[in-house]
Amino acid sequence: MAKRLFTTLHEGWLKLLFTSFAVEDRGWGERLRDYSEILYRHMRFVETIFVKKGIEYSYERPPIELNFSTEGEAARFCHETLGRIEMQLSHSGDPLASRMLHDLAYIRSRMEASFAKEGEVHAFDKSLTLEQKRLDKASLDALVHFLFEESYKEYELIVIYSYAQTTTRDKRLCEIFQILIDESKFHLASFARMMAQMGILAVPRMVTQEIYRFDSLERFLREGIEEEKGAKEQCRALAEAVDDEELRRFFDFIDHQESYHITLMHEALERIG
Amino acid sequence: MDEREYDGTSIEHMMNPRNYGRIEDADGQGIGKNPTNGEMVIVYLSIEGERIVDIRFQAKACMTAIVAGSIFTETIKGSTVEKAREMADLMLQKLESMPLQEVAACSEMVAEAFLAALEHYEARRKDPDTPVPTRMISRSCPTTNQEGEDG
Repeated sequence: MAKRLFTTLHEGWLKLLFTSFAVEDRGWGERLRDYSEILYRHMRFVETIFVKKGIEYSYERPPIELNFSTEGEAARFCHETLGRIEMQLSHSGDPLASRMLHDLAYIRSRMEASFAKEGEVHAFDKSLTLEQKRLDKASLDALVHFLFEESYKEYELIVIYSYAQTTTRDKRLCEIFQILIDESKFHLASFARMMAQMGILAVPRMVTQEIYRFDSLERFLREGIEEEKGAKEQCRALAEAVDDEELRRFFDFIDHQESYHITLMHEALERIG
Repeated sequence: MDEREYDGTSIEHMMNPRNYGRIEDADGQGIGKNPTNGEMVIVYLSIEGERIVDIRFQAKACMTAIVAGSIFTETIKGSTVEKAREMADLMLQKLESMPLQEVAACSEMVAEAFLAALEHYEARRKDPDTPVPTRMISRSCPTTNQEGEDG
């Protein structure tokens, strides 16, 4: 398997994931999200093999710009992305490569079936409106700021915990990292759907090696706990700043989930004690 | 919560930051750092003759620093070294008049990282093993004032 395959899979996962948030046909969006999750798993399978074989790989990647305006264009964008992954794999008898090629062929066929979709995409039009809510300028600016900061943070956490999970041998630590990955995926999806509705959806910038490759797990966890506290504070401040009961309750809900993340990270700290 | 006001330009830079990333084998590299909260910006330069043919930046910092880095690098790319230095100096002179301290601190971090990268480029002409310089900024960021906190 080529070294650059990891990066191409990483890009493919993000392109399908963010396309799934962008499209307005929510049924199709949910299927795209399932397909993106398959690409995430491909990436992690390949990562495990690379770690085992001592092959160097990186979570750094080129920037990804999304600029399709119809669902048909979105399908073509995904189809082209999947084709780039396919070109790096060969039918060599390797069971993983074979499985990936079959997955890719099926998903590409589903994309081809969607080329004619005419639904418009408004996820990048900067409308700054949210489900008929009438937010004042201060609330809107606070929300925009929060969504950009926190969508990057959630993506960063997925990258950090994915890398940490592959390089850790402790079973319970692996479980904790998996829980945190799943939670961050949920938070990212919640924020990204809101960004799509407001016309400001974007794939977060890449996470640099200096950030995700930590030297000390203990230090990483201690800093992570502080970051979770920071995220809780952001949620609380936003809940107070936004003049809308439904949004207030949503950010309160996220805030309480962050509390449990802190508990899990304390448990992880105790384990490495 | 905050007093930022977002317009179409800053949202565009938040959605698609320009020149974000790393240049392998850069001719010059410099770091601008906020000593009070640990935030930092790294600037990479590729220079041919007297012209900056490529510039990239990375940041462990808040979105305000990303927007400042995106706008600054977009402006600088393709300029001569001399013109780019003038622009960075001008940016530093204008910090006092910036309405938000956070924007001033992040802009200072970007400009200082760029000047550190130029310093590195010039030093490497004499000694290729010159270490990457770090310049500390003088302004504190009101939203984050402790080491390790978020932007």
